[in-house]
Amino acid sequence: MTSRSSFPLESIAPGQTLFVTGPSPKELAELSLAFVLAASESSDGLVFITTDLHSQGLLDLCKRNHPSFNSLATKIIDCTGQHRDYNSNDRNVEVEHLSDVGDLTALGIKFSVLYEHLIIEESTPVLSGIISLTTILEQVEDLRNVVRFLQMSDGRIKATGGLGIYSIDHSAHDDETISTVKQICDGGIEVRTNGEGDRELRVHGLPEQTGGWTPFSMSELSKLDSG
Amino acid sequence: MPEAVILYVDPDTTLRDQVHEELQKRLSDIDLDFEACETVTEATSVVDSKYIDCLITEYELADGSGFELIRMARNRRPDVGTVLFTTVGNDAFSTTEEEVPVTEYLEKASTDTIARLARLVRTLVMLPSQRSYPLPEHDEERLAAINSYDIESDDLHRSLDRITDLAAHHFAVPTASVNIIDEHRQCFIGSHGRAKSWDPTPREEAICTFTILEDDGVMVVQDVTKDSRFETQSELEDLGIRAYMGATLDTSSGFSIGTLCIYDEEPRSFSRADRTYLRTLADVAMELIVFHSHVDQKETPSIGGQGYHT
Repeated sequence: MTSRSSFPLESIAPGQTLFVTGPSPKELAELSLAFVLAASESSDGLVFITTDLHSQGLLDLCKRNHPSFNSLATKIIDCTGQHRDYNSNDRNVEVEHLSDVGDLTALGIKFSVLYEHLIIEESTPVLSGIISLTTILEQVEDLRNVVRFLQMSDGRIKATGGLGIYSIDHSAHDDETISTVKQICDGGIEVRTNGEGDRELRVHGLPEQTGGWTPFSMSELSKLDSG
Repeated sequence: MPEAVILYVDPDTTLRDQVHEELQKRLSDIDLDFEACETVTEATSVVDSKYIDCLITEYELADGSGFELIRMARNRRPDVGTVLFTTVGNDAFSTTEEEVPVTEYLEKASTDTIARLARLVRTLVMLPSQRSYPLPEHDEERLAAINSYDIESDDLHRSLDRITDLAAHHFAVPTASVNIIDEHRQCFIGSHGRAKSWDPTPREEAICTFTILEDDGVMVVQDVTKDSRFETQSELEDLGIRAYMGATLDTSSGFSIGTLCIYDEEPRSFSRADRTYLRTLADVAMELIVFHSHVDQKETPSIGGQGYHT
């Protein structure tokens, strides 16, 4: 297992889970996707759990921002409750639907099923993105159940040397919930918009990373992917 | 070599033997204690008799479902890792009933299923992958640090009781305790008030599970009913715990092996000076633990160093 890089992270050890927190939920979804895709390599498998953005919308966003995106090795758990038609070239993407995002038993089982399919298809390591964890946290009464689900996901990620990105809207939760999510993760990325309207990010909890607020743009993430 | 107790519940006796054989072969670097049976009732007896690290179960059992079995195991052993290993497809059972547990799932479908099961079991045994609480970094070393002290000494417990008396008096609270957070439980080695009658609690139900993760070693909960980590735990109020402050017991290597805590029956806040005072008392408690361990090692070399066993 070797380290992978994804702007702004210079070196991500295999099996890391990272939170991404910051701006509006829509921007956060886009950024979290971008971080997963920028870290991915062509042989990797991808599993996304999407709670607010329909799976076709998620696929469109991936393709628009990341030209080398491989939908064949992508699996999605769509928890939006929306049933729409898929574009003809996306009908082969394996999508599991879940109507109740608070049903962590079903979510965990579907995650296991898709993860195993990627292992069978030899699309490993697996990179996963939960977009967004905020919606799950809002729907589950006992925080311990969410932690158990995340630890289970984390176990698979660590065992196979993958990467996990958990998108979380800082403003939607109390300090204790945020602190608990951070304690589960190996580190994280905080994003903000500065006074001049430019995006900046700061890395938490990971060694060998640039400290402090660093300006960046979405195009930097996309360029990295297309290279 | 790491040790692990595996319980496999399945009516298919042939498959039970195959799984046993395959796990022994693929997990030969782990000292496995493999138990197998076919009903919820038999499995309950096993769970009551020993600590199970990993439970593998079919969904359809003669006297109940795999979900019922997992729920039973979690009630008794909250940290157990579980795998639903079944012929039932993932869309075929209802997960909307109340209190259905979070679990790993593997369908018995393809030829390499048992190999994939072995990989999952390895993950569940080697990583804390179904715990319901965050763990400190390097928890294994922290647990080893606990074992380096003689924490069972009656003399030590009496000394720590005095520390809790001082803490309770200073903060005018009815209950205080000195706790050790071991692999699966919170154990009380010093107590004042109601804590004298407390039994060890699962780590997932202990507030101190979070205190040992605090950077500055002190954690305050002004009102457990308004804290997202504890608000669903009505048993805390039953114990007379509404407000809490805890300070860590830190080794010289920086591992937090436990806490000194005070508990109030009403919501309250604590000042910076309060935090500093409890921090100081916790440091004294840790010095007592170190001191007693050294004395015991000198006085009773045949016992000293055996450490803390639960």
